[in-house]
Amino acid sequence: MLNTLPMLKSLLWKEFRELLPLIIAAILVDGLLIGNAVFSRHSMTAAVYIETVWPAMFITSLLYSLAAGLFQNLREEQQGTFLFLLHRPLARDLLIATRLIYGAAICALVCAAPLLLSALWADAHNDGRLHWITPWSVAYCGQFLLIYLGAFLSSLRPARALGSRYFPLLGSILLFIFLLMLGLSGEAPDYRYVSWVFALLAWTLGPFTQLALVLAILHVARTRDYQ
Amino acid sequence: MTESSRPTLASRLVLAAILGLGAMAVWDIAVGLIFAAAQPLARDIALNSNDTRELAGWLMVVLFGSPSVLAAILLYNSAFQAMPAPWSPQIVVTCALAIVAAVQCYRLQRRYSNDEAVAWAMFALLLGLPGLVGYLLHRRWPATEYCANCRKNSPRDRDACLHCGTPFPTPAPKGIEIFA
Repeated sequence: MLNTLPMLKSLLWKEFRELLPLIIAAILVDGLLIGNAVFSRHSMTAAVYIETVWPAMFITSLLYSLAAGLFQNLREEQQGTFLFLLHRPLARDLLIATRLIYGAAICALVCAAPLLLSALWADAHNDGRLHWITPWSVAYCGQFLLIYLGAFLSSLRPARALGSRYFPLLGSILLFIFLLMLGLSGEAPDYRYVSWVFALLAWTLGPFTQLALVLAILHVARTRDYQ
Repeated sequence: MTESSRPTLASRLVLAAILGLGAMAVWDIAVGLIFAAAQPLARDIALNSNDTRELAGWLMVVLFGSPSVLAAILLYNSAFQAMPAPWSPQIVVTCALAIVAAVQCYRLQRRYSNDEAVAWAMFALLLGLPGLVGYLLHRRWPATEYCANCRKNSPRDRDACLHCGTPFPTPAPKGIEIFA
């Protein structure tokens, strides 16, 4: 275990350097959008104005998750460094899991956190009215990893047939939409009991689905031919 | 591949499921584009509300073709609206397609392996046609050869026939082999 720590640190440092352009881009875009909303001299109050920039932040966040998942493996494949990476004296599962955890943590930090914090800030500075962005942010926080994991699986898995490489990504986008809608159904005013059951279901199914995708990723990582 | 590193059935089922959902997404996009293109042509056709509901039901079958996805959508809708008829022809057709997919899955799995055929058939029964596509895409399909002993089709990624265990004949030497 002690011998693996320096290797894991090196691996994390490599991943950090490779994802740095994406991290900087995400922070810049989020900072620009939030800063514009908070410090602008708009006729509306800033708390209400943040509602108008929130969809842009949401889409940027989804795109970032997608790019991060694809970039982590496609870069290795394009440069032909997969075998070099896998020949390190680390278990393959540990190596892939470390990269996954790092990517997921970065997604949480630069995707989910700004969305949630801006929604909470807008609620705190509002006239007692709940912003529509708050339930969206909370529902998104339960499911945001699906896109990242789907993109990671797509980039790791070689295609078996024409055009099938990106099927895992498309499948995870479908699951993401379904679970996000399920989570958002907690806001339906006329069906409060049923809708909260659905919201609870989304919060249960979301992590379970993400765990299942991690299983599939580890399976592909173990069985694929890296030549 | 050692026993401990052999991929578990659960991880393969998950991979096949996500591939099937991806195939369904591609199919849905294609159908959506066709509908968008056909919309100007269908503008002059007058439909009453019953026809529209009937068409929407068939569209669900065409779009998803999967009993579990259809059940999830119906459950979601029925919680907020009136419950549809439980044995509508659309549901029967979807279940029939799922049974066809399950039979095909079972036959293929039996041809390529001796185990897990029932598990894969159940998988296809739940996911329907997308499940069958996911099953077809989730693994490699080795070449098959007829066994000289039992005359059954057996995958050639092993040394002996899958069905009777008779070793496959070794290839004829070409005279350029190196024996260590």
